[in-house]
Amino acid sequence: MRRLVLVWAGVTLPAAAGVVTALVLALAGVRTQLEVAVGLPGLVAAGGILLSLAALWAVVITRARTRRERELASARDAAVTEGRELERAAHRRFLARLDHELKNPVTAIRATIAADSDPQAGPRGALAVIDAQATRLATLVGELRKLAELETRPLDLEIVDLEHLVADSIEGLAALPDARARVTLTVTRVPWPVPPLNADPDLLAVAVDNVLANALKFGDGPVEVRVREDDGWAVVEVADAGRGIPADDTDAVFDELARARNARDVGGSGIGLSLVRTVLRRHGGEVELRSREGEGTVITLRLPAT
Amino acid sequence: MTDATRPALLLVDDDAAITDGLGAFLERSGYAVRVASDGRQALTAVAEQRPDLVVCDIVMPHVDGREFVRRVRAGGDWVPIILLTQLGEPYERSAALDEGADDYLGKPFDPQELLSRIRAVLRRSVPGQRPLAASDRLQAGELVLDRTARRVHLDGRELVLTPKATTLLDYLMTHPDEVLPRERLLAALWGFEFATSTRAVDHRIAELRRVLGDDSSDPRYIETVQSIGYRFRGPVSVG
Repeated sequence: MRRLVLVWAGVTLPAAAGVVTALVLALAGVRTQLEVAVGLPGLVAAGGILLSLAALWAVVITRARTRRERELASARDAAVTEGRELERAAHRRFLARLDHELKNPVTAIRATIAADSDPQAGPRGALAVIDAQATRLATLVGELRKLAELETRPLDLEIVDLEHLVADSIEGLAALPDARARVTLTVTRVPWPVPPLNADPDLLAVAVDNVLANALKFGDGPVEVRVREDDGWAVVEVADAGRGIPADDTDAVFDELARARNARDVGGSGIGLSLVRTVLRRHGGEVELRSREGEGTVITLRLPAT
Repeated sequence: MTDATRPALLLVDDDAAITDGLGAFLERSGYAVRVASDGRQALTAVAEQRPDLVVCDIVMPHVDGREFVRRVRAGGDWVPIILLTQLGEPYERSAALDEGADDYLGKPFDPQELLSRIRAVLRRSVPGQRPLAASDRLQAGELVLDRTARRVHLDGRELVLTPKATTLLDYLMTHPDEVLPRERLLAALWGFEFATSTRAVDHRIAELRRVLGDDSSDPRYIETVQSIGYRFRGPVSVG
């Protein structure tokens, strides 16, 4: 505000002073005439300089305006990000409350059923169903809460060999020989081997396990796992020839509890892919999905090297 | 069984639906159960007649579970206490906050699981002695865990462990001679039950064994319990 007043004073004062002086001279009866002769070179030079000054003035004004717009835009972006973070934090608090409020009733249900059941054999028949369903309800909400907490919980970082981690995840299928036989692993090492990562190996393993389990459960064809380096990034691709995801579901499948329309006959909680995305983002990476219904799906996990 | 031969439990929770069900279940399982509905009542109940063990909720009006543990311990009483948590906190944080509970069980739990925890705590508690979970130093043979400094020594030599492996060793040593299923270790130490596998646990056990020089086929400290999990070979004493 003060700056604006100063600018206006600077702009109007010379004009005001000129007009007032002219009035005073006119009233005093001063009739002196001045004739000024200027050489053409001088006039041309002065004109040029004046034009340059005007152009300079225009440039200064435009730049100031652009800067102001940029500042506004970045303030707007910061506010949007902050708003989004506040919203996520509120979401986390809500899930924590919901989880908390569900735990007591479910504990009471399970305790009451246990009190009415045979101490050795445990609940049977209808009571066993109620017990299992109450537990399932609490587990689901508990998982949603854990998933939300994953966005802020500290990571246990160490140097991780991604190739080793992925091979381990595949070896984890040893108990399911049919599934294991469908998976092939390809690792690209020449000329650039997969860089080591600074990551939380347990969380990363959870992400890889989830993607692998998805690839196996939505089809019975081959599953290819490809580990490679890409421009300084470590990349894991898990490709299957399964049933694929309908095109208009591909964005939504990353949302909590969301499942594709054609996935309802296969067991699952709808937490897996949001978990994968959260883990990848926490590591500065990203997950991409390409899918065609009836053909198959490729999930790509990209992680920045250390 | 008469009340004189049945172990006396004090069950503390402000939710009557829980104390009713759980109380009846524990009675049927052979315990003499008294109920208190908050920490203040529980303190009075302990003063009136000392129970053999207390099962206590954390979030309660007046005096909450943590404050109850602090006040009981401040009075020099080492009565075994199992805290029922519902905050989904990992073991490390709970242990740091509670200064003296013998064990933790997250709500909602399988009542049978509570029963096996009660038995394990009663088995390993020594009357009048500070529980392992409330001790600064634990010792098993030549292995010494300094819990405050999070340092591990074997035969007087300091071992280098990752933080996770140290926490796992802490959990194993505070639960000696108990079969610890992989899922329980995962839930207690990692805080994610949604893991599709429990490999994370096996990896850290492998690290512990490597650093401790423990042979899995003839273990001195960490035993594999076929298709279930692990067991730490006691005895563990307060160092």
